[in-house]
Amino acid sequence: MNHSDLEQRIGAWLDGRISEAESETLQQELRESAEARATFESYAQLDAVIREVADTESVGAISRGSGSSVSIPKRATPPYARALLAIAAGIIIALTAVLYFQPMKAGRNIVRIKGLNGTLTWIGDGGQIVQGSSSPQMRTRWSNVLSEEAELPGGTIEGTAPDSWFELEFHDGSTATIFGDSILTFSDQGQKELRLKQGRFSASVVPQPAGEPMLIHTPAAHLKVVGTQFDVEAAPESTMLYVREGKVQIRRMSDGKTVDVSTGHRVVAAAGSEMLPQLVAPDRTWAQTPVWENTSNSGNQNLIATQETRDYDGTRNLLLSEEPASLPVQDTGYTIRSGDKFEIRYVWMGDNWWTAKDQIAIKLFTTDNDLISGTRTTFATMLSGTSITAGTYEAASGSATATATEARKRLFVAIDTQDGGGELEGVARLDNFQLQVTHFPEPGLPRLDDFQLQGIPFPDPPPPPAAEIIIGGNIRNGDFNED
Amino acid sequence: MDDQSAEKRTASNDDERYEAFMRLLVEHEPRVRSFLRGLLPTWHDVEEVTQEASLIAWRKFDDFEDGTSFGGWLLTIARFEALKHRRRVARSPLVFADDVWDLLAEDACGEGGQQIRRRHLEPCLAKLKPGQRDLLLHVHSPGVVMREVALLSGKSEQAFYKVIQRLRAVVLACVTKAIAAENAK
Amino acid sequence: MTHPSRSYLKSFSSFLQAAAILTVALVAFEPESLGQAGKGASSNDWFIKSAKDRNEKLQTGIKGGEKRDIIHSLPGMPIPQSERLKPPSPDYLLGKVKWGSGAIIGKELTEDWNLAPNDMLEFHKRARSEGFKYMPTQTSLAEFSYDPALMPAILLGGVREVKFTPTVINKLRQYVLDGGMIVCDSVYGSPWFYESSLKVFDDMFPESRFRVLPPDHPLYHIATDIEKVTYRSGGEGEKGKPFFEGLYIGSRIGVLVSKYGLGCGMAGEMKVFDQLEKKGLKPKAYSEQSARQIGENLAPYIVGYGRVGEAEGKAELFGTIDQNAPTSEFVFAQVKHDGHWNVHPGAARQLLSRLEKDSAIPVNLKRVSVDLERDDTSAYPFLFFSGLDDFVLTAKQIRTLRRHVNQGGTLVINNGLGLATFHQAAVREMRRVFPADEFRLLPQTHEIFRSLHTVSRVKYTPTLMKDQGEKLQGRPVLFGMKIKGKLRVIYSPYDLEGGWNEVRYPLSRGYQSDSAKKLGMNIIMYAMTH
Repeated sequence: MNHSDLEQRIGAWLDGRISEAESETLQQELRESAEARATFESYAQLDAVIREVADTESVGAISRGSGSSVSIPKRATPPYARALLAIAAGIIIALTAVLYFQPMKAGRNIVRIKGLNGTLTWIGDGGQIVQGSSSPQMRTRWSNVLSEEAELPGGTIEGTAPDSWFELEFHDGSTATIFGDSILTFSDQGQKELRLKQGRFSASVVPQPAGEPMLIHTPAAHLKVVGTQFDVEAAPESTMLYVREGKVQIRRMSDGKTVDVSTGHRVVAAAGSEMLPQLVAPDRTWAQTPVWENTSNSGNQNLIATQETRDYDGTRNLLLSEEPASLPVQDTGYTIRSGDKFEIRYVWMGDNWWTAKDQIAIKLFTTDNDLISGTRTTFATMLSGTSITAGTYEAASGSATATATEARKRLFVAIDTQDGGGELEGVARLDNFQLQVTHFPEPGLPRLDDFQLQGIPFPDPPPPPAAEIIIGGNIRNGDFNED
Repeated sequence: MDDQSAEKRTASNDDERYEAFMRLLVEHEPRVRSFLRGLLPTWHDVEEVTQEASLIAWRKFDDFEDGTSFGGWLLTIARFEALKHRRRVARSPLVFADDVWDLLAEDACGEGGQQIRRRHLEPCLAKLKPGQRDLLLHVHSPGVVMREVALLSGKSEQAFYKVIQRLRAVVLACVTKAIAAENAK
Repeated sequence: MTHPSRSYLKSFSSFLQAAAILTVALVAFEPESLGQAGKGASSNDWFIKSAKDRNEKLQTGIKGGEKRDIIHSLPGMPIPQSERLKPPSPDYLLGKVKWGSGAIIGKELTEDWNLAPNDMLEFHKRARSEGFKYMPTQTSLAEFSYDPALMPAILLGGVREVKFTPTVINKLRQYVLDGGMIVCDSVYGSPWFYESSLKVFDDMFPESRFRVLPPDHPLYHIATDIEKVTYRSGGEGEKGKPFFEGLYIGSRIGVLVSKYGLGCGMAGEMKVFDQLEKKGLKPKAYSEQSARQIGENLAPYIVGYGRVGEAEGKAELFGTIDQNAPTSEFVFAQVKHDGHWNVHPGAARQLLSRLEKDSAIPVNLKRVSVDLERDDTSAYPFLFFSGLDDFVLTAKQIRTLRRHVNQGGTLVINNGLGLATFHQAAVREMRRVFPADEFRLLPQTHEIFRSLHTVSRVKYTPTLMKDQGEKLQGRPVLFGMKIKGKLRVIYSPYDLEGGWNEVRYPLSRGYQSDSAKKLGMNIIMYAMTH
């Protein structure tokens, strides 16, 4: 019986990797030899004592790749003193294995999640990977890492779907949001440092401490941010920066060229192209305008649809033109019922080349196939009247009632112009469009809509019909401000 | 322990008894764990049984007579609990046959044989190269799975285990010498 | 001192070592606020007992072997004849379950399951004063009988993560399906316990999900009306409304989870919250007054719906239809949706048995479930849609329903238990499916009230009778929608389905058994003959 073989077997048993056969052999040895048992006991004791030392000394140790390890040195306290320490503290906390093997930096949270959507992956400093998904269902969830108000230490957040977005807030109130397929690494050790590996990112940064601007790295550029609101789009070879407010310094990595980009300007940093900040006027084309479409024959979605200039209330307004190239239409999604009364309201202003007799014409129509592209049948046209005071906004309104012919069909709205004679060159502006419907039911047996489950079941007379807003304010982009 | 008798004691009395128990437990518990390590197949089992034994000792502390050996008393409780625990443990190569078990238990409970203490171990650990010392401590840290460390080490598994085994042997030899030297004094 | 459970305490010295480490660590490194927003670095931060065990014995006034029919006579709820013949009730109402592990902290034995040690004592004292004479009791997962007839409900309270072995999971599941109820109390509002219990029970019942109880849920009205509550801490987001999540089995709550602590409020031992807050944690709990109020409703709820559980708990097999062998039998097809759809298990079967007896229609006694996303509904001319709370239809489901009705099928929608949440959802969703049509009340002269039986006056459930009896005057309330001139969609805002089961649903607004069955049979008969 080889002593070193015995030791090997004992080692295998201690490590929990001994096989059946080896175990049988070992047991036989233990039966037969008191010396073997003494050796066994020695190794068992040794194992216990090494574990004791390891337990108290190397909490927080990590092995780096090179084989050396980093440990937090402890003042070794005698057992008795430790016991009294604990008694004095009055706290005895049940241990879990996790406590023994924790990475060094655990616990320092630097951001709070303000909002999130879609599928995301988060990789924290400790290396743990968490996948989250927030979807608007009634389901109650238990995810406690990726949820609103949760706090995170530094790490990397990755959006993995087009509708993913993730907004975080640093302790000083600065916020950052990523959209879609994006990868952002963030840290804050007094100076905030972010790395946008790819994708779209938007930030609102409160004034940073002197000498410690927020740093942002993308594959193509470095940015320094002292306090500002801006958007960044990072692709492998180029980075787009748009500064909404404030000033951001951007440095192109290919040649080190640096420019300052200030409010309302946009710049693209890419090797070989000019890096000149350009003023961006907040116009929106049809392609950029939700809900409303340009259904003229030209169908050009790149024409300007809304602008902030010459505004009514400081927000965007709809640009109307007598030219046939532009005709705003919306599919309201509403199914008409016989007896529906529609009411519209808006403000408008005649602008360049608008003549005295030109009017706005709001048209309500249906199509043969309930699609915006189908053959149209206009069942109501409501004119604004001619302009009272040129160059200022005035209010206009109108109403129309649907008949049985329109019933069960989809409702479409067009904002058209009616020429007063002269040329088709006039331009007008329109804002705060509102369309509401009031349904006047046929008299007869009590309706479910009037029924009250608690309270008076069949109120008599039934309550007067209430108006329902179809378009208005931010409902279906009635104020034209939706992005 | 009956609530009635407990309530009759004064608060300060309770504190004293508690502190006394703690002191004794802290002193003798490592021995119990060493003992159990040589009987039970995994550290998980050792922890469980140690807890049970400690709890029972606390509950029965009133029965314990001052002046008698707390360590021996605790060890007896531990051995009994280990036996109960063994009946519940599934068959595996780590679980020894009954007769082997009894032999080991007997030997370990005996008063003969030297106990390895920290004071023997620490100087021996210090004699190792820092990398070796850290490695040995690391694989013995609670919660660490030897196999995972082996796989990350860059060596083949078998080679890794051999390294650990050699370190153990070296340290054991050193510790044995230290104990012998102590006894010779 | 109670016996600690089989799960073990950690050894003391490893406690001490850890405490020493933590104490040293906390000294060496400036402590940050403990984890996320008051959650604590680990669940152990919450592990404090709130008070000492009082260990009082309840004066019972009942001899050991005495048993009696327990259905407390709530006002206006006479006990039906059939229920008087049922076997006597158990001695226990809500048993406290031992789980987890324990430690000796200070000098107290602190165990996961018993951090609010006097909650059940007080709960039963109050229940007793309301006439529910039960004994508080404790049981362990190993000793528990898992028989709802012996223990209608069990309480699980704690702060740390809950975990069960697979065996226990199976047993708990069966217990609930057989009619038992599990109440989970996150005694200090610890997110560890709360989230883990949601997960454990959600996984345990893949067929159902936790839902927030709507304000008109029977639990909030069965003894007193709980419209507003107050919170000791952490409840700012609830705006004075109670917050409970329930996992429905049939129409009753099978598992109730309280995110906000109840036990300490019930026991009147609130000091522990100061302690927790000093540690930087953010506990969540009801005030004493609200906790007691909730307890006052909990007792009759358990009793009332316990019987329901027994009746609905009999295993029911769904049938399937062979698409290639069309049958002349009437098939009762029930629609699945994302709200709670299987509201009254067993009810359809009762109706169908009666229909078979009372009519000449060949009837398939097994109901069939239909998934509008996937299944072809042309095989089912009759679709039944019932629910308990909110639901939303997908575009595909809407298209399928429209097609079903346009091709001549009938759709019957029923408000299980008659709650407002489902009613609002039904009205809203039907508007989406049929935007240009409307529901009108079916007049008493309508043929549907004569199609099999003659239904002129109906009997309502006690709650509906009390609330609306005078205004409704015994008439059946059914709304119908005509498609192409024919009645195709019928909606009952009061519960028909519950009435088909021979059991009383406390606080349900619907029809009593005989009326409900007659209406149900008439509707089916009408649908099959038009």
